[in-house]
Amino acid sequence: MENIYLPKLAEIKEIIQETNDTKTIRLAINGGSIDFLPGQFGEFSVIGEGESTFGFSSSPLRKEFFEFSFRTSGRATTGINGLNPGDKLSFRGPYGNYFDTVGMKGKNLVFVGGGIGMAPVKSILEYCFDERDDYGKITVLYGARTVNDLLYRNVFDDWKKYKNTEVVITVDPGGETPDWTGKVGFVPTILEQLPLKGENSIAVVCGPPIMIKFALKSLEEKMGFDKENIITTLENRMKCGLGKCGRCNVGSVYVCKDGPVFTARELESLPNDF
Amino acid sequence: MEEKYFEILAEDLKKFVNSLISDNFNVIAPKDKDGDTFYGKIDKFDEANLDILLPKMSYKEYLLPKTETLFEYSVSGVDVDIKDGLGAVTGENKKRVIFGGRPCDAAAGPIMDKVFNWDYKDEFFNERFKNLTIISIACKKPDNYCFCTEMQLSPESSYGSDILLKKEDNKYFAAVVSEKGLELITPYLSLFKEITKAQIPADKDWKKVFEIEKTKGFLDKNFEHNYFQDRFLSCIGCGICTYTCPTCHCFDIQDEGNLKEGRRIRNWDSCQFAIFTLHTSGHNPRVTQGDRYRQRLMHKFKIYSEKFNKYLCVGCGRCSRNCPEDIDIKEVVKDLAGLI
Repeated sequence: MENIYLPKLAEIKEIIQETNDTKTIRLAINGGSIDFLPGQFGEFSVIGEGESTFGFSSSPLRKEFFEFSFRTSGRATTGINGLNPGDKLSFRGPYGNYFDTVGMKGKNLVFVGGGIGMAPVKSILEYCFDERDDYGKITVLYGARTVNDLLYRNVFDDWKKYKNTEVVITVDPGGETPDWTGKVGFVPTILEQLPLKGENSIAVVCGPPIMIKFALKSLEEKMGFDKENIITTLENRMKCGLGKCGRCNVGSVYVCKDGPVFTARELESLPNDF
Repeated sequence: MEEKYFEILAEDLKKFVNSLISDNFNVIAPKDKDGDTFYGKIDKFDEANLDILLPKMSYKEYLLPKTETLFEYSVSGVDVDIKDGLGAVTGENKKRVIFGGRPCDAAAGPIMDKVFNWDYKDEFFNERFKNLTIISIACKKPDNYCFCTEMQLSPESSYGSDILLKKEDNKYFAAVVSEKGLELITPYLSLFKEITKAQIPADKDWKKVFEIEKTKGFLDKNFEHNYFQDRFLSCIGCGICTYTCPTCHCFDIQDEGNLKEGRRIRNWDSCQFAIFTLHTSGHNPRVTQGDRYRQRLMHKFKIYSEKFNKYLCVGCGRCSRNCPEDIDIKEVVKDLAGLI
């Protein structure tokens, strides 16, 4: 008889200080990663401080660890923030649906991320890099409020090395530093400047709601993406992750079970409950 | 199984229940406490109050306790020792009998069962449900808050019960509708007299005030209708509707203790609280009390029914009886069914 609320213990292999208040934690169970798919999430916790929900930010094809990124803001994340390599974290998962990596094969891919919303995008992006020959042109657009709010700065150069790949990094106006060589402008604005076309393409978009709203509009109206080919992930407060505790629903859809990955077409049919 | 029918004298029913107690069954029945009536453990038949229409709370807590331990932990250095809470449930649960509950409360069991087993199996719930045998007594006089008949049940429904009793003068008719029920009475069969179905008085023709199926047309199309904001302006968000509801099952998971030792617990929670859906960022998908009451209605009459083809409501009316603002869900559902 299985207790579905019982966590496994994961060992912290590495901690990356991404920004002032965000970190990426690399974990291993039995010395390596776990089986999951890009887009899925887990429940992470310093036991005694309560669980938090985070999406995976690493490619599941990289077997030595699995990772998530978080911003320190409440009791649970303050607890996680205090940990060191070698410490243990409780983990349940993976839960939820995932990006359709098979359906994306042969397509040109556009990845759009804003702030810490880049975390799940990074998972599917790096998965596609790991299977680079399966996909067409890859365009990455990532933005944050300021240069210091950009996560994953240590891997931008790795992304740029892949063939047929364009990586565009931007910060909001006023968020640049004197030595900043990337773009300056809001993500939807920069998105419209990129030579993207909807045909044979799939866009993955994740970030703050306001960014998603305008990015979706640009992709649909200016670039001709079908709503089926624009994919995003929703987040809602969750407790169980198992479709029982009753709080993450948007209308009749449970983010933990039916999501967190949705197409723009699916979002369109949901009531304004998120 | 094929239903079996019996007749038992009131004095023999008393003997039966007292025998269950002396044979070590944990018997839970409506029981007076501090001027009110709650389901609680009885040590003899006479402690049961079988005259009350409905105890203040349902017996939901015997399936989903207000607080339960998912696991206990103790930490030393980087080592964490975890003790599974499921063991305690299996141990705690000597066979429990709910005696003298009402058909609406019994119906809540299989309704919650769907949530706890539709995908991942919640063995905490399952262990408790499996070890619960339910002997309900049909209602004779529902009050104005009751609407079980509208909720596809009736004051004489056996749905969710193992045995349904109907009182008539100084005797009871018993419909044994499950193997569990039959197994329970088998050692005491000398007290029961088997009869045929035809000898049991027919159910009354309970009239419906509205058709619950008609709520669908409204709920499907009117998420943003002013009704939800206006009708529940008076709601103070106390959550008593969800606490007293036999089918409300939403829960929270919290750690209790410190970083060295403690337990992870599951507590009853309520969609009527703002914090229920509050994001870390400060954003809240359900800002107003109207948004939150709408969620309760949607969950009961649309979301659950789309998934499981039944409603997440048994029409017991407790949420209305206990509401400090006199929000009567029967009137609300009537509004929804009548398209307002």
